[in-house]
Amino acid sequence: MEKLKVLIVDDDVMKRKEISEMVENTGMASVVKASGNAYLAMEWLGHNEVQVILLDAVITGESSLEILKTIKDQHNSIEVILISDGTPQSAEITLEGLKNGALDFVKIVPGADTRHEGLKNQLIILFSQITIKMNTLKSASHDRPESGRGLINSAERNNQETVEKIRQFDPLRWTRADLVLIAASTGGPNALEVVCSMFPADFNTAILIVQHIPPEFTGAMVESLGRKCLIPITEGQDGDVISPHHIYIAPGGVHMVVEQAKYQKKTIRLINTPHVNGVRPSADVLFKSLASAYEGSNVLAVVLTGMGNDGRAGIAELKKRCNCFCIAQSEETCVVYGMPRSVNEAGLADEVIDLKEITPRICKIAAGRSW
Amino acid sequence: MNNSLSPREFALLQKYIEEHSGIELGAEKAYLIESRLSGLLENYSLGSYEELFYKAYSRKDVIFTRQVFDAITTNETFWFRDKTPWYIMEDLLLPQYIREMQAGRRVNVRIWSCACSSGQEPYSIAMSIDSFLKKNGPGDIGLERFKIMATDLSGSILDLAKSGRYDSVSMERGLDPVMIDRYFTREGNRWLISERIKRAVDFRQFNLKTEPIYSQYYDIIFCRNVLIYFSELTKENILHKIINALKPQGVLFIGASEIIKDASGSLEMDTYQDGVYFRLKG
Repeated sequence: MEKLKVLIVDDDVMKRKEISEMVENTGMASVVKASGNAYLAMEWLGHNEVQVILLDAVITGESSLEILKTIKDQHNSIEVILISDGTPQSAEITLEGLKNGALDFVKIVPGADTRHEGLKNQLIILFSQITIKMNTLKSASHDRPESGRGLINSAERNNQETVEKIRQFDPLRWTRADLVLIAASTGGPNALEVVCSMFPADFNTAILIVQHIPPEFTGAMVESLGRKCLIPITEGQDGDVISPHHIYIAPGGVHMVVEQAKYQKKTIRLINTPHVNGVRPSADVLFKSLASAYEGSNVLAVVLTGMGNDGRAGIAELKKRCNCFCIAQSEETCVVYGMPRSVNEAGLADEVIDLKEITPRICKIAAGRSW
Repeated sequence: MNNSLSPREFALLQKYIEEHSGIELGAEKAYLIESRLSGLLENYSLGSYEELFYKAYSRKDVIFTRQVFDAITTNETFWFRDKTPWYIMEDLLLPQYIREMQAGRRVNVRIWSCACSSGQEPYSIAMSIDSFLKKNGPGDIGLERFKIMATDLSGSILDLAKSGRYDSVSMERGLDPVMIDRYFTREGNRWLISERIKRAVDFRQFNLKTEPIYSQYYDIIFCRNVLIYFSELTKENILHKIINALKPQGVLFIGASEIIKDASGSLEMDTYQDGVYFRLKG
């Protein structure tokens, strides 16, 4: 496989060296240039070709957001990954960057171990995603439907097998939703903003959200969502009793689960068990706990943009033990059509719709006004 | 044309929305009010949000006022919402009240639906009692012995409730054909609730947050999916008021997925089948 060509833009010479090593260590990409000056890097881009740019979120003397916009304007096909050092300032810029077209971000603390496995895996996942995306675009533009056929067919066959095993959701038992769940990863913060900002002020079903995100970033994300959402929104805290008219976001770095407490109350617990699907918080962990805490209830699960397949196993479990309706975000509106694809191909999605349609549908289905 | 929302305009709209829907919006939601209402500003060629506020406030244009609220809320209302209060009433409460009335120990039963919106809840209460009396009741106790009070903040929504007229979409939410057949008549594309049921409910405009109520007056209070829209402090105050309005042994129903914090410890949580209700101790 041809390696991805990478440009690194970071004003810290030590970090440039560290990041170059990490990129080379993945074996999937090679660094063709590492620049300490954003202006010169943009010049260089004019007559050189790369597929990926790793851009420092807090580059001295420049606005990384401006640089990001320039790249996206002039070289739309290049994927930009932001490098964040995890400080609050950089977290804010990073989230803003995700809204402005950055694919994702990696957190690199200066002086970090370049052989760090977690980071290496994160880069590998990102690079494979970019490679897959490039290849799909290529085959689509060459109009050769055969290219992906074999894969699709086998996926369809799998589909039919799984469909038989899944308990279909029952519209007659669905008076209204007892709970709404949302899972998101790459591209998620942006998609969540669209989804959350559209809820009416009197939406009164509890909403639990898992967004794959490091611990330092949840606070900034919750605050930014809170300004754009009419429903109260907080990070889930250990011991929180789930109440309607509230959005709970899983904090980064731990798993969020739900327990059945006295008098039909459900409480949130935060636990420190190992990563699942390479992530923590994991949607699978939350969903599986809900399948038991909300056994027999009406649960509406939504899978938004993101790479990987976190959420799929959890939804399968929800379908077994609850009356679960599942919405997957459409490929056209996903930044990365990974998680929605995996539930869709497993035959778990009851509906596939565009991002902007999701909240109106949630409102209708939650109120039992859909069938 | 000034299209941005000033702090003063936000304060006006915030207060207006709270007074008419009970929904408390914090200062951090200013941006959202702006984005939700900007379309109306444009459609009606209004110069500012202040103009929008006065247009809604004057209530000359009912459709406009309605659109303002539609942009912020969905106003979800259902007939016989949640199954549990209805069978708790029919299995536990109504048989007890009827026994007491027959023994001459009770004159009537007072019920309060404290945020009745367009009337589905109080009318459901009346229909439930009427059906129960027809099926199980002794002939000498009629619906008139049950005094149902229904209140809401919004005068315009109360007018709708009082009219007893519903469109086919609202009829679909929670009503079974037997009930429709028994209590409604069709008027073109609308449905009119029967005069008996309408007469059983007394509608009044009332602000739960600011106005006083009788103490130890009600046997049953329905306060479902109301408190969730208020801040913690307001919630506590309203709950205190509701507890005060209950007779000893009186019953409070809250929404199926709601939680309340009763700091005074005067309520006792009881369960019946899979339903939860609260009883005032004493």
